[in-house]
Parts: sequence; structure tokens; C-alpha cells
Amino acid sequence: MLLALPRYVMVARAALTALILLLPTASMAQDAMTITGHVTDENGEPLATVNVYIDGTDLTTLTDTEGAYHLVIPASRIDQQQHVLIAGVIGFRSGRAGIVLSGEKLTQDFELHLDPIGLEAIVAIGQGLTRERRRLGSTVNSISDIDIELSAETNAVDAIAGKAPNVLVTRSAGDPASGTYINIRGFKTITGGNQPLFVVDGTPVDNSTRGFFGKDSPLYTVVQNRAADINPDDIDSIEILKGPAGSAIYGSAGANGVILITTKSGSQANAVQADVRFAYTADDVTEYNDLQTSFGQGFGGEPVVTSVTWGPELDANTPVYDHGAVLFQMGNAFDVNATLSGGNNRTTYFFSGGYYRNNGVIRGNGKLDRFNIRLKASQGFLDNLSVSGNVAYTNQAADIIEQGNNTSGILIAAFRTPPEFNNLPYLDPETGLQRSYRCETGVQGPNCRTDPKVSRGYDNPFWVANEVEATQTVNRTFGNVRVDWDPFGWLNVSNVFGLDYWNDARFEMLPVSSSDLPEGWINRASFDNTILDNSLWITASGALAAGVFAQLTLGQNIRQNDFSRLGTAGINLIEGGLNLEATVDRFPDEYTSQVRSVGYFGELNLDIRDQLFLTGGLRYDGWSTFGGERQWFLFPNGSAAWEFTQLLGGDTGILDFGKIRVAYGEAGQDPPAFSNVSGFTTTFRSSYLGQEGLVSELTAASSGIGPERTKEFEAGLDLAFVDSRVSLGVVWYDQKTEDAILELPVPPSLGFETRPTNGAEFRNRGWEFQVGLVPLRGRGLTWEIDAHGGTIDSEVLDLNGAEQFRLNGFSDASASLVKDICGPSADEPCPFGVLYGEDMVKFGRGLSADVDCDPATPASSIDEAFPDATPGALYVGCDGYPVADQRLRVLGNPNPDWNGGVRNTFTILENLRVSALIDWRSGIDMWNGTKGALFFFGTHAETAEWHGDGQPWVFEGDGPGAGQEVIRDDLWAVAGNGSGFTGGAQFFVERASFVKLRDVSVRYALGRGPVSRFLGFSRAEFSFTGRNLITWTDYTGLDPESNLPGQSTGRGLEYFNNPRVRSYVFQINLVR
Amino acid sequence: MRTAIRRAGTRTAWPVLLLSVAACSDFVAPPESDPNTVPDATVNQLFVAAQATLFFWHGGFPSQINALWMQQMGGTSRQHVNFELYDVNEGDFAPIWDGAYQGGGLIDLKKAIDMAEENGWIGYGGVLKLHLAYWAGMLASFLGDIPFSEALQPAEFPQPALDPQTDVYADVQQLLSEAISDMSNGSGASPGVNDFNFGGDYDRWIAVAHTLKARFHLHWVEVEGNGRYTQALSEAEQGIMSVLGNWTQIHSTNTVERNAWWRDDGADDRMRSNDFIVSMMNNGTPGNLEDDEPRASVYWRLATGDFTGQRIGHRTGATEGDPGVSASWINVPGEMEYPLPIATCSETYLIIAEANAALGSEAAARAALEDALGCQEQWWGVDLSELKDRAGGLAGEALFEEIMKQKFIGLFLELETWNDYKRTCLPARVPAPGHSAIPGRWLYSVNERQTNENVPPPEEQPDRNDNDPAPCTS
Repeated sequence: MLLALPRYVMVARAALTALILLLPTASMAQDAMTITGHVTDENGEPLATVNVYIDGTDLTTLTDTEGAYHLVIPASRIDQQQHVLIAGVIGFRSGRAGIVLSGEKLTQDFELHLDPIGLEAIVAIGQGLTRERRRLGSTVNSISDIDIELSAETNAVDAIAGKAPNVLVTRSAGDPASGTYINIRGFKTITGGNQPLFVVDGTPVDNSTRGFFGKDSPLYTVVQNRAADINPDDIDSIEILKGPAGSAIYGSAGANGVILITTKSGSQANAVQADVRFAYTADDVTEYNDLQTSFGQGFGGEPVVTSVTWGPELDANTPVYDHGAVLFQMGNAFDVNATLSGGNNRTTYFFSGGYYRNNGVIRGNGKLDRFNIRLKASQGFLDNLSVSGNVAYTNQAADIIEQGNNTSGILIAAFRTPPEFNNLPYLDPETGLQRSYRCETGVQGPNCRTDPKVSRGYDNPFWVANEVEATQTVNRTFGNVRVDWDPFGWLNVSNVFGLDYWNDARFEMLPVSSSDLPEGWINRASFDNTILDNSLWITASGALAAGVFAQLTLGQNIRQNDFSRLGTAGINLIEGGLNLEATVDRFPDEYTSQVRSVGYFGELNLDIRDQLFLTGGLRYDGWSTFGGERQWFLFPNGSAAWEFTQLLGGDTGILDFGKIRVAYGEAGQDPPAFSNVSGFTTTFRSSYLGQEGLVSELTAASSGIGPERTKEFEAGLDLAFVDSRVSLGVVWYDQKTEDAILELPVPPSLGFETRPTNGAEFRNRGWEFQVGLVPLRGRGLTWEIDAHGGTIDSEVLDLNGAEQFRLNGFSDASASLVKDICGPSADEPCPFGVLYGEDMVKFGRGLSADVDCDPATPASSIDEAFPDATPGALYVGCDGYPVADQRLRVLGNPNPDWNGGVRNTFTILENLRVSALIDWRSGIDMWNGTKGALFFFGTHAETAEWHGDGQPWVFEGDGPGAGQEVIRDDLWAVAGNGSGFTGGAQFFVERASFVKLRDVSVRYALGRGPVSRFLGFSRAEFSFTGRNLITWTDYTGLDPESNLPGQSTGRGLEYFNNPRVRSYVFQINLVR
Repeated sequence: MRTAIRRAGTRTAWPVLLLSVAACSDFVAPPESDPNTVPDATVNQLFVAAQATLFFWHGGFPSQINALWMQQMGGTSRQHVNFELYDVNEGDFAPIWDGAYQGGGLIDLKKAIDMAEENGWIGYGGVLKLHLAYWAGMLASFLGDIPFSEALQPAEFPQPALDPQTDVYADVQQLLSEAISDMSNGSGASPGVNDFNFGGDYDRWIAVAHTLKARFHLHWVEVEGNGRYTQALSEAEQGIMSVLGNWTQIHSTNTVERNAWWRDDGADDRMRSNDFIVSMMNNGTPGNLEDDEPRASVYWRLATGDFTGQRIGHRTGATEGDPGVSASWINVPGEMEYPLPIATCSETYLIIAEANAALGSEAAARAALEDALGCQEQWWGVDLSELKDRAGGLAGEALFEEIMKQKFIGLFLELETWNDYKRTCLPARVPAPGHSAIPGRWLYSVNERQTNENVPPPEEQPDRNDNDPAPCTS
């Protein structure tokens, strides 16, 4: 087809090529021009990493630590024309100066003024594009390196917590290797994980969470999210594109928002900078369910041999043990990072290396080692051609302690132990075998003390912590090579080729005598993930008319993601064996997938009179997972922003800045691999007694699956008053996900469990605001207040005919999608991911019961029998107790009604910075499954009142037994509905709203004074950060941010999860 | 400038991009198969997996819930305490309902039958039909109306209707008749070693088919009367006549192939023996081993804890002073390789005995009872001559009660016990506290109810099935 191109195109192409080839040659005949200067704040203090650039061009540089910059203008770009030189950095309003590119040396200093909401900062907006914030029509939240540094987090995602409205970041547990979950403006997908796309220096990187052995959910150990491989010390800034209105440029990968990470670079200022940071962290366990220490093993107040603790009151002289407290210790971590950077007008380099070690808070194996190195460099080869490269390597090795719904989980083992049983020593001194209370007291039968391959019922928690192994070793390399070519002043061509590869080797061993698999078990697996990604884009820019500036970008992205998992489980461990060779039965497991995509994108920006900013864009995507006839899809976006204060002549004295904006965008999520095909598979028992066997897959094939499509409209108002001392940003957004991919549950009588299909529909709406105040500003003291808040009102509009879809959890209590039964009327939409499970009979549901207290007569309507009962009220049966409902119901909503944060920052005498962040989420429900189970066992502190004669109680509600006093006691817990094991899930759904002192930091910087010189450094900083210090909540379990299934979309579940921690971090940062 | 942009964009970039689109369509072509699955399966492969699935379905939750409700076992911890008290919800039944229809269950038996017919493997197809008929018949016995004629056909019937119980039974009888006919024909490939019970011996399977036909006729006696007894008798007389013909679960010592009731000594305290059956097997003082009938030591281990050395059971619904988890755990039926029976000569003779007793042929009933005990002697390796002698002297109601008692004891942990009770209310027992009757049916799976509009919610489901309208009262 190329031969068929019109002749004039061929001629034009040849001419263009010749012209381009001539350009560098011509440029060598002239001298370059340099512009130098210093950038300071309004107090005269130098500002580092300020972007100094010539507007409308790619001519740019950064200031060094002294605030100096050195911008080289290639001779070919000297045009004798008037240009605008801009100095901009987040937190300050840009400085502008008119200059003429005459070829003469030029000095231009800038004094930048505070810009609390960063209206004029240059921010990345995706696919290599940047824009001044004031010109944006969509919402982009920014986080600076100082925010990241002072948060002292070691997982880059944690550093985002509490810093932007409707960006909810939660760390799943306090284990060193636990993962972090991030959600932006609510849930938009069922199958896609709801995690935003992570892009580092223009290349998407993997942030998946893989269950420990490919299990559906990490119920047995915490699992990291792979963004944990990004060294926070390497991050210069983070931009958050919050939804399709801003992230549509990423098409079918951008529905959940995009986290754009820009890493640090060397400066072009001819300076060599060395930077060393040491951090020491002390970690302390926060909340967990309290245990009683007054009653011992038994039942009915009698010391019978049983697994439960409903025995007699313990004698005052009986030693008792708090099985929570004895497990935990003050954990510690240390972190050292060093960087070396520098450069000149052609070359920059940035090298960093770091080592991090975390010894967890559980006495035992839990720990994490991480080693990072990274090199980023750029080289200008010709005046209009530069190549930059960026490569990072991370090695992480983690020892993880079993948790959750697992009889070899540490807290199941600990919290169910009667208080009088000492779990130490965990090995029997005589036999050397594991001790546990059910074994020693005879519950498990006579053999367990002598036979190693007999279950202990529950393991000894110290044995779990020290003898059970779960390790993870990750090796990861990611980086990219970027080429920028400016064939003309108005045309830029860029290409980024990126590679992201990780291998995750996992090993898990339950030694012989483990309660889960008493014969012993070893599982070894290797996960490999490779992403190859190439983006090419061409940007043309220039003035279309007086006061009208245009920028057009066209580009292509091509991507391939290969994933494989290869593992083997070995069961029945030969005594003394430590690897798979020493197991009797082995079960291999293998999975592989390849997903490819191609996207074409274009975006046109118009800047009209520097006050009206219009953007329109399209992305056209094809994915191999779409399948069938619908192979390519289009995603549009557009925005308009009007800086109306320009009409008023800019700063009015009161209103400095005002902008209204609207944006609309569509983005998507691709289907899971192989949705279009189905076959036969093997299970544990499909092959049997030596004969080969196969079973039909549970998932039916589905052809023609397209992307999920999230459409978002947002409107915003940004204002700044009184010399930017007061700023206000308000955003309203409305997003709807259509064609959401659902593993649609089908009637099991069809022979399948699910069929993937488009068709679910969700909606998220809400407000966001950000307020910036500077009550005090001066050389002696500056006080800044940053507040933000947001709401996310989610609705499940359609599940394609399904009534409920479980996201995660258990049959008796889960996080589920449920349609239309969440309010007084039957068609009230439910929020996304409600808590769903076992409930009691309640009024208003059309239920029947034995209302006349005669079992011989048929049950009849409770609503008709008690017409005055309030809908939703508990039905109290004839015996005064509630009655179990046979149908599963919505029990609560784990999503916050409201989230917000307030940060106060004081800068004293310029050297001392004190900052504190309060984080607030309200309206959260959480299932305290741990408590429910411990009520069964009688070990929970609240059951203390139920022991002995029990606790007199009147259940609030209506019915034949209403008002009748009953007893809550061991029978109610073990044989009634009083525990989580016996049907009372609804009794353990608690309000879990919280206010959290997220962080407090104090940093003292020694400037270029005698002390610094004495130390041999140009600058030294000392800081203390306290993280997650205090949580105010009514929730009685763990820190309400914890979640049993980790980074799953299913939230609000606690079931013997490992607790979270509060941290005290001491840092020293030395700069030379 | 605008001209330059237009030229560069329109005349150069777009053609290049369009060319790229064409080239990249191949790059993103969807996969034709999933490398993680096998695209096709053979009849043998499907039959092997279906047998394994059936063994663990039969011996799993259905066996547990029936044993609890029939008071062979007691729920002593966790959910099993509630199960024993009939406190169940639709979620509890999801695994067994779903597992019966999905991969390894009815869908694969149906596929295997179709493939066997295509291959001309007539006899093999009969064995497969027998398995399908058994599974569907048992589901219908527990749940009444079930999806059957429209089941397993996603394209044609995305919401399968519930067939009336009587229709399902008719289809099941028809399938069993076809199975007998096909196996009698016997042409085509044999299941051979893939048949874990009989190695492709069609005569054995034909006997099983007759026993099953007899069993399913028996299920309608309560509403249709003696006509069904006559049909049951006719079929049973062609049924399994020897323990060698017993259809059982087959297990091994391999970790995942062990009997579902196998527990390492005391590894699970959720269930223990029930005082009702333990007492029934004790001829004198409870806990006195000398008074225990011969099967007791085979069925039960000695208790531990406060009741060390005794054979003692947990009492349904009792907690205070109850042996609970200290009660006896099962002995031989809890062994790793114990082949829990699905259909046996003992059941066949007891069907003959029951039918004859009901039809007034007491001598034949007594003889069949003795034959049934003979089957049990062989099965358990014990001497039941005392029981046989006692049977020889019984008549009338006492004879009928003894037949049902021996069936209750003899079919220990088997699924038919509940159907026998629903039909005859024998042996009589006291329902769990707070209840006037033992449940008459399971609930539909929550997964079926939520996805199939033909399935009513639990509160609208009937308490009993059409073949068993009358509850047993204590």
C-alpha cells in the first residue's frame, strides 16, 4: 500500500527528511545561548528543582539545591523573537519574564510567591503530556516529594494516604509485607480490581496483587501490591488523574484513574549532589479484639474437656495469659537511601540505592528486606535530539506469618486459647512436638501428644510464628528508554519504550502436626510477569491566531503483558523433610496468559487569550481480550476551563484567581483473559485412583465481550483570595460505569457457575473540596492549613439479572454486590460492595414464623400478626430470642459516606517544620468476624458478662416474645444465634467510622551554616514522623482500615487478620 | 502554521496510522483456545471425574446433614450444632446443589452419555445413565421439584424450569430402564478399569439399576400406596443380592482420595455419635460394652475425656451434662478407605422385606430381613445371628418396625435413611427441641434461587415434598 501513496506525499516526505537532516548540521555553525539565574522564594531562600523553561517549547531545565539554573538554547533555536521564560514549581506561582532569544548570554532571576493550591504548577496529565494546572479542565491532585518524604512510608502507595479527597488508601495489615489498597472516586469494576493504572515516567507498571498461591483471595497471608517495588525515595512527584474525565487518554486502561509518578532526575546545573538518608522506625501494634482472662476452659461453668472457654471462673492464683499481648513486640525497621546526581546542559544522571529492613511486630518470622537501585540518565546528542533512560531493580524478600481463616493462622490459634493455658514453650519438652491447648487438654484425642501427624485443632501461635513458613522473594526490573526529537520548533516527536518484569518466588510450608494439614504441606510457586509497552506521540504546537494557541498530539501505544504461574503443592511431608522432594503426594498447578493491546490517541488543546482552555481527545483501543466481533473501541474526552478573573484584569486584590471548569471523559477496563473460550480442566480429584479425568470448566465461554466503559462528567470551581492566602476548590462529579464485566452467576442447574458478560452498571456521584489557608506568613512563622473532603455515593444499578455477586468473604458474611434491596422499598439501589450475610427474621420482609407459639400449627406472617411493628425491627420469638432468617440479607455498608483530612503545617524560623494530618471517614460498617468467632469460644472480653449465670437481656424488637427477659450465656453463644459460628453475623456488623491522627512530623533543617560545614554536608535535616498514631472509633476490633482479603474490592471484613501498627520514624537526611 | 499542521497531520500521519490499525488487528487477535484448559475430553475422562465427584458428594454434606437429622450423629460444635437443630439456610445447601449439576456432576454425565451414543458405546452409555438417574433421583427425593428436563442447556433454557417431582421420578425410572436395556445390549467399548466399582461388569450394574428402581418406587408409597410396594418388590428381586454387588464409594489412602468421613483421631469435634443410635445398639445399660450388639464396636470408637472407655452418644439439642465432643467418634466407617455404600444387597433385601411386610407376606419379609442381616454380617465382619434369630420370631407391626430399625442401623451414614424415615416415620424419634417434626426437605441453593427466577425464596418453598406430604409426629 505504501507504493500506492500519492506522489505529492512521497515528495513532501522526502523534502521533510532532507530538511530534518540538514537541521543539526546547520545548528553546528552557530553558538548556543545560555540563560542563567537563581530562583528564590519571597524570603530569599533558594528553591530547588524548579522547572525553568521557555513557554511553548521543550527548552527546559531544573534549578539545583542553591536555586541556580543554567538553560542552554541550541543555536538552531535562536530566532531573535520575543519569548516567555517561566520558572514553576509545585507550591509556588510561576515566575514569568519576557526574553529575546538573541544569542546573547542572559541572566534572569526569579522570586516565586506561594501558590497554595498549585494553580500554576506544571503537572503531568498522561501519555507524556504536561500542562499548567490553571489550564486544566479536569481534576489532577498532586503530591510533592516533601509530602512523600515526610510521610516516611516505605510503600509508595501509602504515601498518598489522606492527601487528596476521594482517594482512599488503606494498608491491609501491619505485617512488613502487607499490601496497600487505593481507590479513587469509588468502585467502577467487578473484575478489574478497581486499582488505578500506575505509570512511572511514562510507562505503565504493574500494581497487581496476586493471592499467595493463586487462591481467589489472600485469606491466609497478607500479599503485597506490586507498586511496593517502587522506592518512595526515588519519587519526585505524584499526579493523580481521578477518573475518566482526566484519564481518558489511557482509554480502556484508565477507568479507575491513573497515578502518574515522576521520578527524580539529575540537574543540568553542573552540580554533583550526594544525598544520604537514614531512617529508623519503631512499630507498635494498634487495636485488636480484647480477650477475657477470668474464665477457663469448659462448658456450662464446668471444667469439661472441650475446645471452648465457657468453664468455671478461674481461681485468683491461677496464672492467666493475654494471648494477644504476649504475641507482639515493638517492631523496628531501618532504611538507608543514597543518591548521587548531577549533570550539565547535555547530560544528566541520577543514581540511587537503598536498603530497607523491617522486623515485624509479631514475635517470630515476619520480616521484610528490600534492596533497590535505580539509574536515570539523559543525553542530548544533537541540538534537537535527546535520549533518556531509566532503569530500576528491586529485590524484596519477605517472611510472612499466616493469618485469617486458617487453623494454622496465628490469631485463630492465639485468641481461641483459654486464658489459663500457657502457649510457651511451644514445643513439648519431652516429645519435641508442637503443644496446643486442644492437644494438651485432650480435646484432640490421645494420640496428638505422641503422633506428629495428628492435628492439634488449632496450632500454637508461637509455633505458627516460628515454625510455619511463608516466604516471598521478588526480583523486579522496570524502566524505559525515551527519545525526544524536535525536528521543528513547533513539532516534537517522542517515543518511550518500557519494560516491566518481575518474578515472584513463593514458598509455604506447614510442618507436620499443623492443624490445617497435619501430615505436612509444602507449596512452591513462581510467578512471572512481563509488560512491554511502547508509546509514540507527535505534538505540534503553535499560534493559530492572535491570542489563540493550539497544541495537537497524535500517538500510538502498543502493549503486551505475559503472565505465568507455575507451582507445585506437596502433601504428606516425610518427617524431617524440608522441600517438595520429601512429600508423598504432589499437585502441580500451571497457568499462563498473554494480553495484547494497541491504542491510538489524539488530543487537541486550544488556549484562547490565556483564559479559555479547551481540550478534546479521542482514544481508539483494540485488545486481544475483547474477543469476537467487537475488537476496537473509541473513548472520547473533552474539557473546558475558563479563568474568569482574567476578565477582571487578573488579581483584583481580593480574588486573585477564579476558574470554572467542566470535563467529560470515557475510559474503560478490558475483560479477563480467555473470556471467549471454555474447555475442560482438572481438579484435585478429577483424576482418581490412577485414572485420568477431566471436568467441565465452571465458567461458560462468552463471545463478544467488550470493555467496561466508565463515563464521567465533572464540574469544578477554583478560587484563590487575598494573595493566595485563601484558596478553595470545589468539584462535583458524576460517573457511570456501563457494560461492566461481570462473571455473571448463572443457575448452577445449567452446569456452570458463571458466564462473563458485559451488562452490570454502577454509578458514583459526589463532591470534593479542597481549602487552603495561610493564617500566618512571615520569616518567623508560617502556618498553613490544607483541608479536603469528599463524598462517594455509589449505586449498583444493574447486575444483568443477578441478585447478588460475592466479591469476597464467607457464605455467612461477605462483601457483595447486591441489587435493589437496600432500603425500605424493594427497588432501592444498594451501594457497591455491601456486607451481606446471615441475618435474623425482621419485620417488613414478608416473613413467616411461629407467631402463635404452637409448633404444631403452620407458620404465619409476622407482619400481619404484629402490624404495629417497625419495618426492619427484630422479630423476637416465643422464647424471647431472635429467630434466624433462612435468607441471606444486606447487613451493612463498608463504604464511607464522607472522607476528609486536615493538615496543619507550621514553619518556624524557616528551619523547623511541624505538620500534622487528621484523617476522617464516617459512615463505615465493618464485619467483626473475629469477635463473632470468639463469642463462640467464650474468650472475647465482652463474653465475660455471659459467663457464670449469664447476662440478663431483653432483645429489642417485636413479636410474641418481645419484652421477655432472657439470658445471654454459653448456650446462646454455642447453640443459639449468639456467635458468628451459629448464625449471628448481623450481631457482629459494627459501625467503624473513625478519625485518625494519620501523621505528625517535625523536621529541622540545618542550612549552610557552620554545623553543616563541620559535618561535611551542605545541608542536614533531622525529622521525626509519627504515623497512624491515634484512631478514634467505636469499632471494637482491629484498626478499621484493615481488611482480611487485603487489596480485594471486597472491603470491610475482619476475621483474624493480623493487626496494623503505629510507627515512630526518625530520619536524618544529609546533602552534599 | 495551520497549513503545516494540516499537511503533517492529515496527509502523513493519518494514512500511517490507518495502516498501523490494519497491521495491529492481527496483533490483538483474540486467542482461539485457553492454554490452561483442555479443549476436549473423552468419555473415560469424564466418567472417572464424575465417579470421584459423586463419591465425595454422596459422602460429604448430604451424608452429614442426613446423619444429623436422622440422629445417627450429633452436632457438637460450630455450624453442625445448628444443623442438628435444623437451623439451616439456603447458603448451606449451595455446595451440594451446585456440585451435583456442575463440572464432574450431571453436566459431564450428560456430555459423556452424548459422546458414548455418538461412539456407539451402548453398554457404557447405560452405566452413565444409571449414574445420572441416581443423582437426579436423590436430588428430587430431597428437594421435590428440580430443574431436569430444561437443565444443562444454557442456550435453550437459560432459566431452567422446575420439573414437578413426579415428572423427575418418571424420567429417572425411564433412564434406569434405558440403562438396563443398554447394559443388557452391552455393545461398544467397556468402561473397564475406569469403572471403579465393577470394572465394566454390566451384570453388576444392572442389579444396581434394579435396586435403584426399587428404591425410587418406594419413595412414592406414602401417597400412592401398595402399588408402588409391588413395583418396588418386583425390581428389588432383580437387584443386588450379594455384598460383591454393593455399589460404594471407592477411596484410597492418597490424601485427596480418602473417605470424606475420615478424620484423624479427634481432628474434628463438630460431630460425634448420637445417643439415639448408640442406645439403640445397646441392649442393656448404656455404656456397658458387654451389652452392645456386635456392630457397635465396628461403628463406634470408645469415648475420651469424661467418658473414657465408653460408647456413648451426644443427645440431640442437649448441652448441659451432655457428653458433647467427648462422645464416641465413628470407627470403621471413619477409616481412610472405608467404601461408604451407595446401594447395597442389605438395602435390596430390606426393600423386599418392607414391601412383603406391607403387602402381608410376613414369611417372605422375615426371610428377606435375615438375608439383609446376612449381607451386613459379610459387610461388617460380625456375627448377627442373635438378630437373625430375633427376626425369625417377629410379626405384624413389630416385624415392620424391626425391618425399618435394621435398615436405619444397617444403612449407617447412607442417604436413604432419611427417605425411609419420611416414608415410614420409623424408627420413631423425638425431633430437636423447639420443633414438632424433623425437616421434610432441603432448601434450594442460594445460587440457584438468586439466578433462576423459577426458584422461590426459602420462605415460599414448601416444607415437604409431593411424595411425602405428612410429617412424622413424635
